[in-house]
Amino acid sequence: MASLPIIRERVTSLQMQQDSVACALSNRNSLLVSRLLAKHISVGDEVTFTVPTEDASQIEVLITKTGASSAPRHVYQATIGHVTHPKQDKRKEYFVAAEVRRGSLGINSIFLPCEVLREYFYCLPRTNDKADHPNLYDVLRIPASASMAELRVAFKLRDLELKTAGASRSQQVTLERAFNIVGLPELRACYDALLADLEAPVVFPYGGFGSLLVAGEPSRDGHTFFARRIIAFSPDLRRRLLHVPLRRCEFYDDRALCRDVRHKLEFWLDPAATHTLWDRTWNHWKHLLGTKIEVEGTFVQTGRSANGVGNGSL
Amino acid sequence: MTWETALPSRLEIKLPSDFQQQVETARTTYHRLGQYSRALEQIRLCLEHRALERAELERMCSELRLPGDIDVAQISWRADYDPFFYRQLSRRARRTYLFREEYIFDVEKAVVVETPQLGHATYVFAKPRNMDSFLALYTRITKDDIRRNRNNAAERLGFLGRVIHGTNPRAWLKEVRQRVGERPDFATSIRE
Repeated sequence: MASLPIIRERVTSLQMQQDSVACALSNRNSLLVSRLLAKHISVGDEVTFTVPTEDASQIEVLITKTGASSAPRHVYQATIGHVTHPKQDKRKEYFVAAEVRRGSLGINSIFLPCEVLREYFYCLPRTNDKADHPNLYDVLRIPASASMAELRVAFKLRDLELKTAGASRSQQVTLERAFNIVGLPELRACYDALLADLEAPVVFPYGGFGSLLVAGEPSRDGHTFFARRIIAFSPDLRRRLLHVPLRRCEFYDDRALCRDVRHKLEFWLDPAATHTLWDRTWNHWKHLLGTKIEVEGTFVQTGRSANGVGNGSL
Repeated sequence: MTWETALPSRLEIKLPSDFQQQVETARTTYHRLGQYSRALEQIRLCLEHRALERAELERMCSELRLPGDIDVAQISWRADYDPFFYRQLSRRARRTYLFREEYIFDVEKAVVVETPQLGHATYVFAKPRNMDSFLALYTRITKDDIRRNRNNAAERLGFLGRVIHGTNPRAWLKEVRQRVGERPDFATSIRE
Protein backbone atom coordinates (compact mmCIF):
# COMPACT_ATOMS: atom_id res chain seq x y z
CA MET A 1 0.00 0.00 0.00
CA ALA A 2 1.42 3.40 -0.97
CA SER A 3 2.03 5.71 1.99
CA LEU A 4 -0.15 8.80 2.22
CA PRO A 5 1.49 12.21 1.78
CA ILE A 6 2.22 13.94 5.06
CA ILE A 7 0.80 17.45 5.36
CA ARG A 8 2.58 19.92 7.63
CA GLU A 9 0.99 23.38 7.85
CA ARG A 10 0.53 26.30 10.23
CA VAL A 11 -2.89 27.04 11.71
CA THR A 12 -4.16 30.46 10.68
CA SER A 13 -7.53 30.40 12.45
CA LEU A 14 -9.92 28.16 14.36
CA GLN A 15 -13.62 28.04 13.67
CA MET A 16 -16.16 26.27 15.88
CA GLN A 17 -18.59 23.93 14.15
CA GLN A 18 -21.42 21.77 15.45
CA ASP A 19 -19.42 18.80 16.81
CA SER A 20 -15.91 19.72 15.79
CA VAL A 21 -13.56 22.58 15.10
CA ALA A 22 -12.23 23.57 11.68
CA CYS A 23 -8.57 24.59 11.69
CA ALA A 24 -7.83 26.84 8.74
CA LEU A 25 -4.34 26.11 7.44
CA SER A 26 -1.76 28.29 5.71
CA ASN A 27 -2.25 26.35 2.44
CA ARG A 28 -5.92 27.52 2.52
CA ASN A 29 -7.22 24.04 3.31
CA SER A 30 -8.85 23.21 6.60
CA LEU A 31 -8.67 20.29 9.02
CA LEU A 32 -11.58 19.16 11.16
CA VAL A 33 -10.57 18.14 14.69
CA SER A 34 -12.49 17.24 17.83
CA ARG A 35 -13.29 19.99 20.32
CA LEU A 36 -11.02 18.35 22.85
CA LEU A 37 -8.04 18.39 20.52
CA ALA A 38 -8.86 21.94 19.41
CA LYS A 39 -8.37 23.14 23.00
CA HIS A 40 -4.68 22.35 22.53
CA ILE A 41 -4.28 24.08 19.18
CA SER A 42 -3.51 27.79 18.89
CA VAL A 43 -3.12 30.06 15.88
CA GLY A 44 0.46 29.77 14.68
CA ASP A 45 0.90 26.13 15.79
CA GLU A 46 2.10 23.65 13.22
CA VAL A 47 -0.11 20.58 12.59
CA THR A 48 1.19 17.44 10.92
CA PHE A 49 -1.21 14.84 9.58
CA THR A 50 -2.10 12.69 6.61
CA VAL A 51 -5.44 12.69 4.80
CA PRO A 52 -7.87 12.48 7.72
CA THR A 53 -10.61 9.92 8.15
CA GLU A 54 -14.22 10.94 8.61
CA ASP A 55 -14.10 10.58 12.39
CA ALA A 56 -12.27 13.62 13.78
CA SER A 57 -11.39 11.79 17.02
CA GLN A 58 -9.62 8.99 15.13
CA ILE A 59 -7.15 11.00 13.06
CA GLU A 60 -3.46 10.82 13.77
CA VAL A 61 -2.19 14.34 14.28
CA LEU A 62 0.92 15.92 15.75
CA ILE A 63 0.76 19.52 16.94
CA THR A 64 3.93 21.51 17.42
CA LYS A 65 3.40 24.49 19.69
CA THR A 66 5.09 27.76 18.93
CA GLY A 67 4.61 29.47 22.30
CA ALA A 68 7.70 29.75 24.54
CA SER A 69 6.31 28.05 27.66
CA SER A 70 7.73 25.32 29.87
CA ALA A 71 4.89 23.00 28.88
CA PRO A 72 5.63 20.19 26.38
CA ARG A 73 5.98 21.58 22.89
CA HIS A 74 4.08 18.75 21.21
CA VAL A 75 0.62 17.26 21.45
CA TYR A 76 0.01 13.95 19.71
CA GLN A 77 -3.25 12.13 19.01
CA ALA A 78 -3.23 8.56 17.74
CA THR A 79 -5.17 5.32 17.78
CA ILE A 80 -3.33 2.88 20.00
CA GLY A 81 -3.42 -0.90 20.19
CA HIS A 82 -1.82 -3.13 22.77
CA VAL A 83 0.09 -1.51 25.65
CA THR A 84 2.98 -3.46 27.16
CA HIS A 85 3.41 -4.41 30.80
CA PRO A 86 5.55 -2.00 32.84
CA LYS A 87 9.30 -2.22 32.24
CA GLN A 88 12.21 -0.34 33.73
CA ASP A 89 14.19 2.15 31.68
CA LYS A 90 17.90 3.01 32.03
CA ARG A 91 17.11 5.28 34.98
CA LYS A 92 15.25 2.42 36.71
CA GLU A 93 11.93 4.17 36.22
CA TYR A 94 8.91 2.23 35.05
CA PHE A 95 7.22 2.91 31.74
CA VAL A 96 4.84 1.22 29.32
CA ALA A 97 4.84 1.38 25.52
CA ALA A 98 1.66 1.73 23.45
CA GLU A 99 1.74 0.59 19.85
CA VAL A 100 0.40 3.16 17.39
CA ARG A 101 -2.18 1.62 15.06
CA ARG A 102 -2.64 2.71 11.52
CA GLY A 103 0.00 5.41 12.07
CA SER A 104 1.30 7.21 9.04
CA LEU A 105 3.45 9.95 10.56
CA GLY A 106 6.33 7.57 11.27
CA ILE A 107 5.62 7.26 15.01
CA ASN A 108 5.39 3.58 15.94
CA SER A 109 4.99 3.73 19.70
CA ILE A 110 4.21 6.03 22.59
CA PHE A 111 6.29 5.72 25.76
CA LEU A 112 4.29 6.46 28.88
CA PRO A 113 6.08 6.70 32.24
CA CYS A 114 4.09 4.91 34.97
CA GLU A 115 3.71 8.18 36.88
CA VAL A 116 1.77 9.52 33.90
CA LEU A 117 -0.62 6.52 34.07
CA ARG A 118 -0.84 6.88 37.84
CA GLU A 119 -1.91 10.49 37.56
CA TYR A 120 -4.46 10.04 34.77
CA PHE A 121 -6.05 6.64 35.40
CA TYR A 122 -5.48 6.04 39.09
CA CYS A 123 -6.03 9.65 40.15
CA LEU A 124 -2.91 9.76 42.32
CA PRO A 125 -0.83 12.94 42.32
CA ARG A 126 2.83 12.80 41.27
CA THR A 127 4.09 14.24 44.57
CA ASN A 128 3.66 12.53 47.88
CA ASP A 129 1.20 15.08 49.27
CA LYS A 130 -1.70 12.68 49.47
CA ALA A 131 -3.44 14.80 52.11
CA ASP A 132 -6.91 15.93 51.01
CA HIS A 133 -6.62 13.91 47.82
CA PRO A 134 -9.49 11.42 47.73
CA ASN A 135 -8.60 7.91 46.61
CA LEU A 136 -10.93 5.81 44.45
CA TYR A 137 -12.50 4.15 47.49
CA ASP A 138 -13.29 7.60 48.87
CA VAL A 139 -14.98 8.46 45.58
CA LEU A 140 -17.16 5.36 46.01
CA ARG A 141 -17.54 6.11 49.75
CA ILE A 142 -16.57 2.62 50.82
CA PRO A 143 -13.63 1.19 52.79
CA ALA A 144 -10.76 -0.40 50.85
CA SER A 145 -11.60 -3.79 52.41
CA ALA A 146 -15.01 -3.96 50.66
CA SER A 147 -15.96 -7.06 48.69
CA MET A 148 -16.81 -6.98 44.98
CA ALA A 149 -20.52 -7.04 45.74
CA GLU A 150 -20.19 -4.21 48.25
CA LEU A 151 -18.29 -2.16 45.70
CA ARG A 152 -21.05 -2.61 43.14
CA VAL A 153 -23.75 -1.67 45.63
CA ALA A 154 -21.75 1.39 46.69
CA PHE A 155 -21.34 2.42 43.04
CA LYS A 156 -25.04 2.01 42.30
CA LEU A 157 -26.03 3.98 45.40
CA ARG A 158 -23.57 6.81 44.79
CA ASP A 159 -24.57 6.95 41.13
CA LEU A 160 -28.20 7.29 42.17
CA GLU A 161 -27.29 10.00 44.71
CA LEU A 162 -25.41 11.99 42.08
CA LYS A 163 -28.21 11.70 39.56
CA THR A 164 -30.81 12.72 42.13
CA ALA A 165 -28.71 15.68 43.23
CA GLY A 166 -28.21 16.75 39.60
CA ALA A 167 -24.43 16.44 39.91
CA SER A 168 -22.17 17.47 37.05
CA ARG A 169 -21.22 15.08 34.27
CA SER A 170 -17.60 15.15 35.41
CA GLN A 171 -18.58 13.89 38.89
CA GLN A 172 -20.47 10.98 37.33
CA VAL A 173 -17.56 10.18 35.03
CA THR A 174 -15.15 10.25 37.99
CA LEU A 175 -17.39 7.83 39.87
CA GLU A 176 -17.69 5.46 36.92
CA ARG A 177 -13.95 5.52 36.28
CA ALA A 178 -13.26 4.79 39.94
CA PHE A 179 -15.53 1.75 39.85
CA ASN A 180 -14.07 0.52 36.58
CA ILE A 181 -10.63 0.48 38.22
CA VAL A 182 -11.44 -1.07 41.60
CA GLY A 183 -14.28 -3.19 40.18
CA LEU A 184 -11.85 -5.31 38.17
CA PRO A 185 -9.75 -7.59 40.40
CA GLU A 186 -6.47 -7.20 38.45
CA LEU A 187 -6.72 -3.41 38.37
CA ARG A 188 -7.81 -3.29 41.97
CA ALA A 189 -4.73 -5.27 42.99
CA CYS A 190 -2.61 -2.83 41.02
CA TYR A 191 -4.32 0.14 42.63
CA ASP A 192 -4.02 -1.29 46.15
CA ALA A 193 -0.30 -1.84 45.54
CA LEU A 194 -0.05 1.80 44.48
CA LEU A 195 -1.76 2.99 47.64
CA ALA A 196 0.83 1.07 49.66
CA ASP A 197 3.77 2.24 47.53
CA LEU A 198 3.37 5.17 45.17
CA GLU A 199 6.39 4.03 43.16
CA ALA A 200 4.92 0.60 42.38
CA PRO A 201 4.65 -0.18 38.65
CA VAL A 202 1.19 0.25 37.17
CA VAL A 203 -0.56 -1.22 34.17
CA PHE A 204 -2.46 0.64 31.48
CA PRO A 205 -6.09 -0.19 32.40
CA TYR A 206 -7.68 -2.83 30.19
CA GLY A 207 -4.48 -3.12 28.14
CA GLY A 208 -4.91 -0.14 25.78
CA PHE A 209 -6.94 -0.03 22.52
CA GLY A 210 -8.49 3.35 21.89
CA SER A 211 -7.75 6.93 21.01
CA LEU A 212 -4.97 8.52 23.05
CA LEU A 213 -4.16 12.22 23.28
CA VAL A 214 -0.84 13.01 24.96
CA ALA A 215 1.55 15.91 25.49
CA GLY A 216 5.29 15.32 25.24
CA GLU A 217 8.13 15.16 22.77
CA PRO A 218 8.90 12.97 19.77
CA SER A 219 12.25 11.15 19.71
CA ARG A 220 15.05 12.41 17.44
CA ASP A 221 14.44 9.68 14.89
CA GLY A 222 10.71 10.41 15.03
CA HIS A 223 9.70 6.78 15.64
CA THR A 224 8.74 7.18 19.31
CA PHE A 225 6.72 9.75 21.19
CA PHE A 226 7.72 10.32 24.83
CA ALA A 227 4.54 11.31 26.67
CA ARG A 228 4.79 13.56 29.70
CA ARG A 229 1.06 13.83 30.29
CA ILE A 230 -2.10 12.05 29.15
CA ILE A 231 -4.66 14.61 28.11
CA ALA A 232 -7.40 12.14 27.23
CA PHE A 233 -7.97 8.48 26.51
CA SER A 234 -11.09 7.17 24.88
CA PRO A 235 -11.27 3.36 24.73
CA ASP A 236 -12.87 1.51 21.82
CA LEU A 237 -16.26 0.49 23.23
CA ARG A 238 -18.60 -2.18 21.95
CA ARG A 239 -22.09 -2.81 23.21
CA ARG A 240 -22.88 -6.52 23.34
CA LEU A 241 -25.79 -8.73 24.26
CA LEU A 242 -25.02 -12.41 24.68
CA HIS A 243 -26.10 -15.56 26.44
CA VAL A 244 -23.34 -17.34 28.29
CA PRO A 245 -23.59 -20.84 29.80
CA LEU A 246 -22.98 -20.62 33.51
CA ARG A 247 -20.74 -23.67 33.33
CA ARG A 248 -18.14 -21.46 31.64
CA CYS A 249 -17.69 -19.49 34.87
CA GLU A 250 -14.93 -20.05 37.37
CA PHE A 251 -16.47 -19.54 40.77
CA TYR A 252 -14.63 -17.92 43.65
CA ASP A 253 -16.08 -17.10 47.03
CA ASP A 254 -17.08 -13.51 46.33
CA ARG A 255 -16.84 -13.36 42.54
CA ALA A 256 -16.87 -15.42 39.37
CA LEU A 257 -14.95 -15.07 36.13
CA CYS A 258 -16.95 -15.85 33.00
CA ARG A 259 -14.99 -16.60 29.87
CA ASP A 260 -16.46 -17.21 26.44
CA VAL A 261 -13.60 -18.73 24.45
CA ARG A 262 -15.62 -18.79 21.24
CA HIS A 263 -16.24 -15.04 21.23
CA LYS A 264 -13.08 -14.18 23.19
CA LEU A 265 -15.03 -12.31 25.84
CA GLU A 266 -14.59 -12.27 29.57
CA PHE A 267 -16.22 -10.51 32.48
CA TRP A 268 -16.43 -10.69 36.24
CA LEU A 269 -19.62 -11.43 38.10
CA ASP A 270 -20.38 -10.62 41.68
CA PRO A 271 -23.37 -11.55 43.83
CA ALA A 272 -24.74 -7.98 43.63
CA ALA A 273 -24.90 -8.22 39.83
CA THR A 274 -26.71 -11.55 39.80
CA HIS A 275 -28.62 -11.35 43.11
CA THR A 276 -27.40 -14.87 43.82
CA LEU A 277 -24.84 -16.22 46.22
CA TRP A 278 -22.37 -18.93 45.29
CA ASP A 279 -19.17 -20.52 46.53
CA ARG A 280 -16.22 -22.46 45.13
CA THR A 281 -18.05 -25.80 45.37
CA TRP A 282 -20.14 -24.73 42.34
CA ASN A 283 -17.06 -25.52 40.25
CA HIS A 284 -17.54 -29.23 41.09
CA TRP A 285 -20.92 -29.58 39.43
CA LYS A 286 -21.21 -26.60 37.08
CA HIS A 287 -20.82 -28.93 34.06
CA LEU A 288 -24.22 -30.39 34.94
CA LEU A 289 -25.77 -26.92 34.81
CA GLY A 290 -27.31 -26.24 31.43
CA THR A 291 -28.59 -22.76 32.21
CA LYS A 292 -27.43 -19.62 30.43
CA ILE A 293 -27.30 -16.07 31.70
CA GLU A 294 -28.14 -13.03 29.64
CA VAL A 295 -25.29 -10.56 29.62
CA GLU A 296 -25.67 -7.04 28.31
CA GLY A 297 -22.75 -4.70 28.62
CA THR A 298 -20.12 -2.46 27.18
CA PHE A 299 -16.94 -4.29 26.30
CA VAL A 300 -13.44 -2.98 25.68
CA GLN A 301 -10.58 -4.73 23.96
CA THR A 302 -7.93 -5.96 26.35
CA GLY A 303 -4.26 -6.81 26.03
CA ARG A 304 -3.04 -10.16 24.85
CA SER A 305 -3.63 -12.82 27.47
CA ALA A 306 -0.52 -13.99 29.26
CA ASN A 307 -0.85 -17.55 28.05
CA GLY A 308 -2.89 -17.54 24.89
CA VAL A 309 -6.41 -18.22 26.03
CA GLY A 310 -4.86 -17.01 29.18
CA ASN A 311 -5.48 -16.18 32.72
CA GLY A 312 -6.85 -12.80 31.85
CA SER A 313 -4.05 -10.93 33.53
CA LEU A 314 -3.57 -7.50 32.08
CA MET B 1 -4.58 -12.46 20.56
CA THR B 2 -7.01 -9.89 21.88
CA TRP B 3 -9.97 -10.46 24.08
CA GLU B 4 -12.75 -8.17 25.23
CA THR B 5 -13.60 -7.40 28.83
CA ALA B 6 -16.83 -5.89 30.13
CA LEU B 7 -16.65 -2.61 31.99
CA PRO B 8 -17.96 -3.42 35.50
CA SER B 9 -20.00 -0.22 35.57
CA ARG B 10 -21.95 -1.12 32.43
CA LEU B 11 -22.71 -4.78 32.99
CA GLU B 12 -26.25 -6.04 33.38
CA ILE B 13 -27.03 -9.68 34.10
CA LYS B 14 -30.37 -11.43 33.77
CA LEU B 15 -30.90 -14.93 35.12
CA PRO B 16 -33.57 -17.27 33.76
CA SER B 17 -36.71 -17.51 35.86
CA ASP B 18 -36.03 -21.15 36.77
CA PHE B 19 -32.42 -20.49 37.70
CA GLN B 20 -32.66 -21.66 41.32
CA GLN B 21 -34.43 -24.82 40.24
CA GLN B 22 -31.73 -25.59 37.66
CA VAL B 23 -29.02 -25.02 40.25
CA GLU B 24 -30.74 -27.37 42.66
CA THR B 25 -31.16 -30.02 39.95
CA ALA B 26 -27.47 -29.84 38.99
CA ARG B 27 -26.36 -29.99 42.60
CA THR B 28 -28.65 -32.96 43.30
CA THR B 29 -27.47 -34.79 40.16
CA TYR B 30 -23.86 -34.31 41.21
CA HIS B 31 -24.65 -35.68 44.64
CA ARG B 32 -26.53 -38.65 43.16
CA LEU B 33 -23.76 -39.50 40.72
CA GLY B 34 -21.33 -39.54 43.62
CA GLN B 35 -23.65 -41.54 45.80
CA TYR B 36 -24.09 -44.30 43.20
CA SER B 37 -20.63 -44.05 41.66
CA ARG B 38 -19.84 -47.74 42.16
CA ALA B 39 -22.89 -48.89 40.23
CA LEU B 40 -22.26 -46.30 37.55
CA GLU B 41 -18.68 -47.50 37.18
CA GLN B 42 -20.02 -51.00 36.49
CA ILE B 43 -22.21 -49.61 33.73
CA ARG B 44 -19.32 -47.58 32.29
CA LEU B 45 -17.28 -50.77 32.22
CA CYS B 46 -20.00 -52.41 30.09
CA LEU B 47 -20.03 -49.38 27.81
CA GLU B 48 -16.33 -49.86 27.08
CA HIS B 49 -17.18 -52.99 25.06
CA ARG B 50 -20.80 -52.58 24.00
CA ALA B 51 -23.10 -49.85 22.82
CA LEU B 52 -26.22 -49.84 24.98
CA GLU B 53 -29.52 -48.26 24.17
CA ARG B 54 -31.09 -45.77 26.55
CA ALA B 55 -33.98 -48.11 27.52
CA GLU B 56 -31.55 -50.94 28.21
CA LEU B 57 -29.44 -48.63 30.37
CA GLU B 58 -32.49 -47.59 32.32
CA ARG B 59 -33.28 -51.24 32.92
CA MET B 60 -29.71 -51.84 34.11
CA CYS B 61 -29.91 -48.84 36.43
CA SER B 62 -33.11 -50.20 37.87
CA GLU B 63 -31.52 -53.61 38.45
CA LEU B 64 -28.60 -51.93 40.21
CA ARG B 65 -31.15 -50.07 42.36
CA LEU B 66 -30.27 -46.66 41.06
CA PRO B 67 -32.99 -44.05 41.55
CA GLY B 68 -35.16 -43.40 38.52
CA ASP B 69 -34.44 -39.67 38.37
CA ILE B 70 -30.87 -40.20 37.16
CA ASP B 71 -30.66 -39.31 33.47
CA VAL B 72 -28.71 -42.16 31.85
CA ALA B 73 -27.08 -39.69 29.44
CA GLN B 74 -25.12 -38.43 32.46
CA ILE B 75 -23.31 -41.77 32.73
CA SER B 76 -20.96 -40.82 29.89
CA TRP B 77 -21.11 -37.06 30.39
CA ARG B 78 -17.84 -35.28 30.97
CA ALA B 79 -17.18 -31.87 32.48
CA ASP B 80 -16.00 -30.31 29.23
CA TYR B 81 -18.87 -31.57 27.08
CA ASP B 82 -21.04 -28.98 25.41
CA PRO B 83 -24.76 -29.69 25.85
CA PHE B 84 -25.58 -27.83 22.62
CA PHE B 85 -24.31 -30.63 20.35
CA TYR B 86 -25.97 -33.33 22.46
CA ARG B 87 -29.29 -31.51 22.69
CA GLN B 88 -29.54 -30.83 18.97
CA LEU B 89 -29.00 -34.47 18.05
CA SER B 90 -30.97 -35.87 20.95
CA ARG B 91 -34.13 -34.04 19.90
CA ARG B 92 -33.84 -35.57 16.42
CA ALA B 93 -33.06 -39.10 17.58
CA ARG B 94 -35.48 -42.00 17.61
CA ARG B 95 -33.12 -44.04 19.74
CA THR B 96 -29.94 -43.07 21.58
CA TYR B 97 -27.08 -45.41 22.41
CA LEU B 98 -24.13 -44.84 24.71
CA PHE B 99 -20.73 -46.24 23.84
CA ARG B 100 -17.59 -45.32 25.79
CA GLU B 101 -17.60 -41.52 25.81
CA GLU B 102 -19.76 -41.22 22.74
CA TYR B 103 -23.43 -40.90 21.97
CA ILE B 104 -24.87 -42.74 18.97
CA PHE B 105 -28.07 -41.23 17.66
CA ASP B 106 -30.41 -43.19 15.41
CA VAL B 107 -32.12 -40.36 13.52
CA GLU B 108 -34.73 -40.64 10.76
CA LYS B 109 -32.43 -41.09 7.77
CA ALA B 110 -28.99 -41.62 9.28
CA VAL B 111 -26.92 -42.63 12.26
CA VAL B 112 -24.86 -39.94 13.96
CA VAL B 113 -21.98 -40.54 16.35
CA GLU B 114 -21.21 -37.63 18.61
CA THR B 115 -18.61 -36.69 21.21
CA PRO B 116 -20.11 -33.36 22.29
CA GLN B 117 -16.87 -31.59 22.87
CA LEU B 118 -15.06 -28.82 21.02
CA GLY B 119 -12.20 -30.22 18.98
CA HIS B 120 -14.13 -33.35 18.07
CA ALA B 121 -16.12 -34.08 14.94
CA THR B 122 -19.58 -35.52 14.35
CA TYR B 123 -19.53 -38.73 12.28
CA VAL B 124 -22.50 -39.34 10.00
CA PHE B 125 -23.45 -42.75 8.57
CA ALA B 126 -26.18 -43.90 6.21
CA LYS B 127 -29.17 -45.53 7.88
CA PRO B 128 -28.22 -49.23 8.29
CA ARG B 129 -30.61 -52.03 7.50
CA ASN B 130 -29.84 -53.61 10.83
CA MET B 131 -28.81 -51.39 13.72
CA ASP B 132 -27.44 -54.28 15.80
CA SER B 133 -25.04 -55.29 13.00
CA PHE B 134 -23.99 -51.66 12.61
CA LEU B 135 -23.26 -51.35 16.32
CA ALA B 136 -21.44 -54.67 16.42
CA LEU B 137 -19.12 -53.50 13.65
CA TYR B 138 -18.75 -49.95 14.89
CA THR B 139 -17.71 -51.01 18.39
CA ARG B 140 -14.90 -53.19 17.00
CA ILE B 141 -13.10 -50.51 15.01
CA THR B 142 -11.60 -47.10 15.57
CA LYS B 143 -12.40 -43.70 14.11
CA ASP B 144 -9.06 -43.83 12.36
CA ASP B 145 -10.10 -47.09 10.67
CA ILE B 146 -13.20 -45.32 9.41
CA ARG B 147 -11.32 -42.28 8.17
CA ARG B 148 -8.76 -44.41 6.34
CA ASN B 149 -11.33 -47.05 5.29
CA ARG B 150 -9.16 -49.87 6.65
CA ASN B 151 -10.66 -53.23 5.68
CA ASN B 152 -13.43 -51.26 3.99
CA ALA B 153 -14.70 -50.20 7.42
CA ALA B 154 -16.09 -46.90 6.14
CA GLU B 155 -17.89 -48.60 3.26
CA ARG B 156 -19.35 -51.33 5.42
CA LEU B 157 -20.63 -48.77 7.93
CA GLY B 158 -22.00 -46.48 5.25
CA PHE B 159 -19.78 -43.60 6.37
CA LEU B 160 -21.06 -40.36 4.83
CA GLY B 161 -18.58 -37.94 6.31
CA ARG B 162 -17.76 -35.95 9.39
CA VAL B 163 -18.66 -32.46 10.54
CA ILE B 164 -16.11 -30.55 12.56
CA HIS B 165 -17.62 -28.71 15.53
CA GLY B 166 -15.69 -25.54 14.72
CA THR B 167 -16.30 -22.21 16.35
CA ASN B 168 -19.74 -21.54 14.94
CA PRO B 169 -22.39 -23.93 16.32
CA ARG B 170 -24.99 -22.72 13.80
CA ALA B 171 -22.71 -23.64 10.92
CA TRP B 172 -22.18 -27.07 12.49
CA LEU B 173 -25.92 -27.59 12.86
CA LYS B 174 -26.64 -26.52 9.30
CA GLU B 175 -24.04 -28.93 7.99
CA VAL B 176 -25.28 -31.82 10.15
CA ARG B 177 -28.87 -31.26 9.04
CA GLN B 178 -27.80 -31.44 5.43
CA ARG B 179 -25.74 -34.57 6.02
CA VAL B 180 -28.54 -36.43 7.81
CA GLY B 181 -30.91 -35.60 4.98
CA GLU B 182 -33.17 -33.35 6.99
CA ARG B 183 -35.48 -31.08 5.02
CA PRO B 184 -34.85 -27.39 5.53
CA ASP B 185 -37.44 -26.05 7.96
CA PHE B 186 -37.49 -22.29 7.93
CA ALA B 187 -39.39 -21.92 11.20
CA THR B 188 -37.03 -24.26 13.05
CA SER B 189 -33.92 -22.65 11.67
CA ILE B 190 -35.07 -19.26 12.89
CA ARG B 191 -35.81 -20.66 16.35
CA GLU B 192 -32.42 -22.33 16.56
